[in-house]
Amino acid sequence: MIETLFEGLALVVQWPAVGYLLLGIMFGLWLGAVPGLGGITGLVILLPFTFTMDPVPAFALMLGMYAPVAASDTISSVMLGIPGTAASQATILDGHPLAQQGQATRALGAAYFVSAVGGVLGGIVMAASMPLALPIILSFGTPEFFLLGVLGLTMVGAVSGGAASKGVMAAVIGLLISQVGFPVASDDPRYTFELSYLLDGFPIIPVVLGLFGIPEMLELATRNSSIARVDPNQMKGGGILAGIRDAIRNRWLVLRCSMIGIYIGMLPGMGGAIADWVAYGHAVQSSKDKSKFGKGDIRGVIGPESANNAVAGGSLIPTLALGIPGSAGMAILLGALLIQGLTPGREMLTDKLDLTFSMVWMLILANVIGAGFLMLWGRQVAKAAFINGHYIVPAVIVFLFMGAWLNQPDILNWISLLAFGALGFLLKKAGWPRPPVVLGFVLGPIMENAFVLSNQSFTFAEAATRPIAIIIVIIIIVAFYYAVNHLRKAISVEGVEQQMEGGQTNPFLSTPFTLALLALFIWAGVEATNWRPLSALFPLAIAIAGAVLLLFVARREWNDYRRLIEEARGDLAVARKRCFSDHRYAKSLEFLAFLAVMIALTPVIGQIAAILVFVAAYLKRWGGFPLWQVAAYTFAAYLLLYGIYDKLLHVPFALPFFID
Amino acid sequence: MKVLSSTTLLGALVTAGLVLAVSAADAQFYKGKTLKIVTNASAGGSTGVSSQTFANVLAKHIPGNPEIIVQPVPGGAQLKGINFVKNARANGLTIGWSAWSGATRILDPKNRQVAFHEFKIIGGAGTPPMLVIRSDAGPGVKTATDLMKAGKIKFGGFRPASTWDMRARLSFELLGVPYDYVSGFRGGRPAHAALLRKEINVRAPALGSSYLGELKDGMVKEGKLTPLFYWGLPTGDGPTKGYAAAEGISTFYDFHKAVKGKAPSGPKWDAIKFMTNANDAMTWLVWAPAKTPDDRVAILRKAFVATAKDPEFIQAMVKRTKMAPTIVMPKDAEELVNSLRSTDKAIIDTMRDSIDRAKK
Repeated sequence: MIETLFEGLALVVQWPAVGYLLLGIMFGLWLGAVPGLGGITGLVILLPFTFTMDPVPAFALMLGMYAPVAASDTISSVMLGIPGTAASQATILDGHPLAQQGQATRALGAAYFVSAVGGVLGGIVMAASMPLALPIILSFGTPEFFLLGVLGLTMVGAVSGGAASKGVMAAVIGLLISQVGFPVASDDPRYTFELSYLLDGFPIIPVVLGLFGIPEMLELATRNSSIARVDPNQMKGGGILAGIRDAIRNRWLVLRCSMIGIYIGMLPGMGGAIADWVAYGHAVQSSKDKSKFGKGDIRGVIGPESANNAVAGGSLIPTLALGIPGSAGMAILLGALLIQGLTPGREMLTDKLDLTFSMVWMLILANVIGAGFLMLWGRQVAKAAFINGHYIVPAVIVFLFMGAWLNQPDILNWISLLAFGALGFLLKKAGWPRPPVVLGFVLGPIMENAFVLSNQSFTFAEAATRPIAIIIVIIIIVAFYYAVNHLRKAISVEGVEQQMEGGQTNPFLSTPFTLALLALFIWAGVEATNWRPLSALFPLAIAIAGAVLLLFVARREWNDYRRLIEEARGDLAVARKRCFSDHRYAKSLEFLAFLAVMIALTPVIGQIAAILVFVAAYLKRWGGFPLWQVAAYTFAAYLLLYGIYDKLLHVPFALPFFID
Repeated sequence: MKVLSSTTLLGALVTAGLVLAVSAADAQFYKGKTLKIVTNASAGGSTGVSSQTFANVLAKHIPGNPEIIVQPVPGGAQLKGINFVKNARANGLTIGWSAWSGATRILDPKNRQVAFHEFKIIGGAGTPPMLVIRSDAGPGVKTATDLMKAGKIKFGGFRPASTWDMRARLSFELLGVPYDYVSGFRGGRPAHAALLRKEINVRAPALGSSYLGELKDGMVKEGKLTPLFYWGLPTGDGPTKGYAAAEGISTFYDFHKAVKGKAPSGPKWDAIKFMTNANDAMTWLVWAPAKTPDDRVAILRKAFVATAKDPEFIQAMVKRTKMAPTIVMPKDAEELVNSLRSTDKAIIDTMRDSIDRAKK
């Protein structure tokens, strides 16, 4: 066994495999850093090249690319407040506030270090537990998957910031959005308005990039400053080494969260998208002092970043050992196995064990080398927090919109991105936390799928008496107790700080939104009564839960409203004026209108031209830059679109109407 | 004998010259260009692997040897990829390799129907499914015929309207095998995981990549899984044609005859044959947008035929999916697509009835 382990290492370090590994790492670092791209895009791009390659170089290229994505995606999460990939959503909660406080280098240092540790642990555990993992994987059936989804939902308390009732309600909104499209076991789509675009529901890319990316760029554009809200001279918290020291100080958290990543990654279908949330929730719940979470607590970066790099190792286990991919990325990797004529299962654990171990080494080396590069680079990246935000906004907008287009070349995907951007802005301004929306959106399909399958395969008694199901139920009860406790404390806190998610309150915005939601949930419930029982069950339950919860939210709105009126000594006009005193509302709407015009122009003048018009118009109107700078920047944007998206990624751009 | 005037002769020569020049120009149309093959499934699956394998060999059969890119556009009940090609510029540089589900597409509501007959058909390729059962189902299923005494089985599938699921359900009904239908698995892999966990005991893997590639030398050899049958290609009213690669496994026709003592018949069997013909023979339709110039379609059709016969392609497919796909030549593919427009109402009713019962 030990001999085979080193044979695996020998396979990786020989030429050309090691060259492909390094090439993959560089590609992966770039893919992770750009919002909207990520590891799956990379695998789709690389897969065709592997048809003519030998197995070891092929997997070195693919795993070399795939592994470090979960580390480099931290750049976008910390610097921009936009999840670089779905696996780094939770990192934004504390990572971005740290960047705003001028502590980006520290946050990145901690994230890179724990990413490497998580990645290495993932590889080691994968190698050590391959034969033992199979019974564990197989003991988790559909009832357990459903319960794990419920457990995930209890994390809402941890990610709701200061708005408890709105946090829970936001998760229910996410659940309702997740119900769009085909139900689990039926061909009759729900809430699609006969649009084929919605048959599979909303794609996750425009939802996440819209909810976080657009509002953050909008904030940066309208604030007329840099990402960091402090002067470079006021930077505190130290650099990369300080981050590493933070990670070492929290070594048990790193270890626990890495294990969370490995074991969630091991469960097929759960994937990396929830590991970071569970790890974040664990970081909050296991900390004595929770007061800084959501405002820039380094443990809020360490937890999810330890977990999301460990996921790859965990998800490789069922992929290689059972032929059951643990995540969407692993499904593509499984395709690569077939392309090489390899068979997952027994062969990979016996005749091809050296190749399997070589993959373990690839994961370990890619994580360590990737993190090393990022650390070398970290200080330079962190400096971006202090440059004029108007240089950042148009470039990031290009990445966001092209990321959505790459995910699905459909103008409706752009419209969704903008719509979710507007929703994210509204949620932010109305004091509704956004992370629970994503949590609900991600968990909804997992829970419904598991519930429907479980319902068909087991009787209630059979499902309820499964030992692991019982253990998970106990964990849920404990987690629920902590969540309720956390929420109760959050509710009792007067004057929640503004920078927290859900920290702002504006009943003049939030109340109409609450009423609109009530109408939406009632309509959703009524619609659901027309469907077959299994298709209707989840949306109906969500609609009822939402409508009831909205009553609690309305109560809080009423309290906020009364407090405001009291503060304004009974003068409604004064109260309203105070809520909308921020002059940036108008500018924000103008920004959204700019984006809407870009989308509207696309079929008229073509996609590339529409993007360039937006870039130039933004730089001139918002940045007030001289013409030569506008021209140079716009030309650079063109080169990016042509060189990267057209030539490298082969994006099918929308053409103007006059070109048939 | 009439002598051609010099003017007529000159005119004929000029015309011939022009035709040759245009032909030569068209023959080289693809030189230096990029041909995009759009699939409507995710990368890494059988649609992606087969289309890329095809693309790797196709280039050498197209004059000018264009660069070929395979682009996955999955989702929307396979419609997103199809609509993407349908709306692409009809210049011969974008074609579809689509899992078309022709047999059940005709049952869809109007907004999800596709007028495949309007497209320029280049060819088709197919890969069949089969059924396997856990050997510990009921009192034990050591051979396929033990299915008849297995008691109530639990069949795990994808969606009520999936042709794989529907054929399995109709087959069990024809055989008189009681079954529970568990639907909602998002692919063969999750269904296989459920089979391993004993949540279901029957499923339908792909005969090539899944059964021959993984299960035959794995779970079947270990005595944990037993192959049941596959459907084979219909040949009129007679017995179905089997696949050489599936040696030792019966077609449903033969299986039915063996256990029931007579050939299958009736509306359910007609529906099974219809779906098998439209789905297994041609799982993937290769096509170009409706207005693609005929000369470019002709080039692509010729290249399709040459690639399908190319040993390099066949060997690569056998290496990756363990059996060569069935190939449907351009004219036959066109006929098959057109034939769906006049599908027998009795077959449609049988399929609708099966779907409705499965939803309950």
